[in-house]
Amino acid sequence: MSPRDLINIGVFGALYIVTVGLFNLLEFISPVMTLVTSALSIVAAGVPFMLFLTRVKHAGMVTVLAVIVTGFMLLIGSPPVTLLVGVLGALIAEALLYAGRYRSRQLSVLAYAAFSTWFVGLFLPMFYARDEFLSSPYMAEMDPDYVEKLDSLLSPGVLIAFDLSTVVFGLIGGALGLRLLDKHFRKAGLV
Amino acid sequence: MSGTSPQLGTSALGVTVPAPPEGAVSRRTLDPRTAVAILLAASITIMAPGGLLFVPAALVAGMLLAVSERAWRRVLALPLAAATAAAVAYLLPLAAPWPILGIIGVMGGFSLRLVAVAGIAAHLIETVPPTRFTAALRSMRVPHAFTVSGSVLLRFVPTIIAEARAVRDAMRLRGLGGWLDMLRHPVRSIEYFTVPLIASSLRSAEDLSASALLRGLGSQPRPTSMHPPRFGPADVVAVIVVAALVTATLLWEAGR
Repeated sequence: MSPRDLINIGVFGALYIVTVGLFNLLEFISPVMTLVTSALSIVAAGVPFMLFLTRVKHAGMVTVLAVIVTGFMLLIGSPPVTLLVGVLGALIAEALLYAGRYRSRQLSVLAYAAFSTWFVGLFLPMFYARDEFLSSPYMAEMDPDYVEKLDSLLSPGVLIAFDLSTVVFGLIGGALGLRLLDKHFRKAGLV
Repeated sequence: MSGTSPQLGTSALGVTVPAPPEGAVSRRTLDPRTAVAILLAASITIMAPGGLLFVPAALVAGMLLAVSERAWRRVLALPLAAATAAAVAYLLPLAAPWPILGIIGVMGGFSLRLVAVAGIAAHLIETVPPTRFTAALRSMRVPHAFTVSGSVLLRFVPTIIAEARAVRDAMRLRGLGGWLDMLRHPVRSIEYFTVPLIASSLRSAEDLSASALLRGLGSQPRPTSMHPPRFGPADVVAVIVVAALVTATLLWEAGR
């Protein structure tokens, strides 16, 4: 990878983080908004990512992007498992891009969906720490029926549905990114 | 857009140039490697199952670090934020037996962990400039590809935030934007926001990369530092304090 490529990765990493961060600001309205805002930010960040894919044609670039983006998230307090999830997602994305010889539009949308799965890492502890919450002394005072209802709401099924939803929003984001690429950036000569 | 072109004279890109006051490393600040080690230790233990046990220790560590850099506002804000999150986590579900409140409670418990880790992260972000951070990464033998792209990222995030502010202002002037609008037409607001942001950021990126390449970024020899990272007395104190906090937590758990 040439130094110019590395600079491009850094620039798009910064663009990606700022886009994700700004759409996540909505989260402060209420904790329930967390899931809505992460969906929104996955869709929004598809735009810089798809532009990134038009500039990089080297194996390993998506992985480096994933490492620095999730590394930055780690520095601001995300769970460490995010880095692992991010690298796994990026490797899948690389394989998809390679399969399309870095030209295929459909495969690049799929690659963005794979890359987006790093969001799963952010919320993983919330799911595996639920037992701790459900067995807290406060919960012991509650109606067992209620605790059971809560347990079923936070079931592995919900966890899997959440993970799959990042892929779905990734696909939407990738498609939106491609559309905006054609609509604005190609015309402006930025691609 | 905003006229904030990247300051081409700054030194985040590989070449370490003394930039007082931040380049002049005081003996009192932690070595970036120590700060990163403490942060990682905190986030690994706290985010693991059963990690709630370590939240008080991390909060105390975060407050001590804030005291060490005289960030009084953070010394107060940290316990306040933690108390709010704890109240949402433990008191809200008692209010009514609705599962939705239970879920908000679980999220509150998660935010409590996040606040504890973020207290330490804030110290790292406030006291370690990108230059020292990359020098530390280099001395930890992190591969070239990650330090170069990572330092560009750290250098570029503030520039893009400035551009984003300008885009947001421009949207307001035209009567666009606002949170409600964004929720009503999410795709349209994404388009209005990201397209100008990317276009203007790419323009400053061109300048930045030209200047960085001219100044030898990505050249083969390893760059040297004017202030090579060194462990000092502050690091010893920090390690002792963290060890004491961990011991106290474990003793307390054993004594229960």
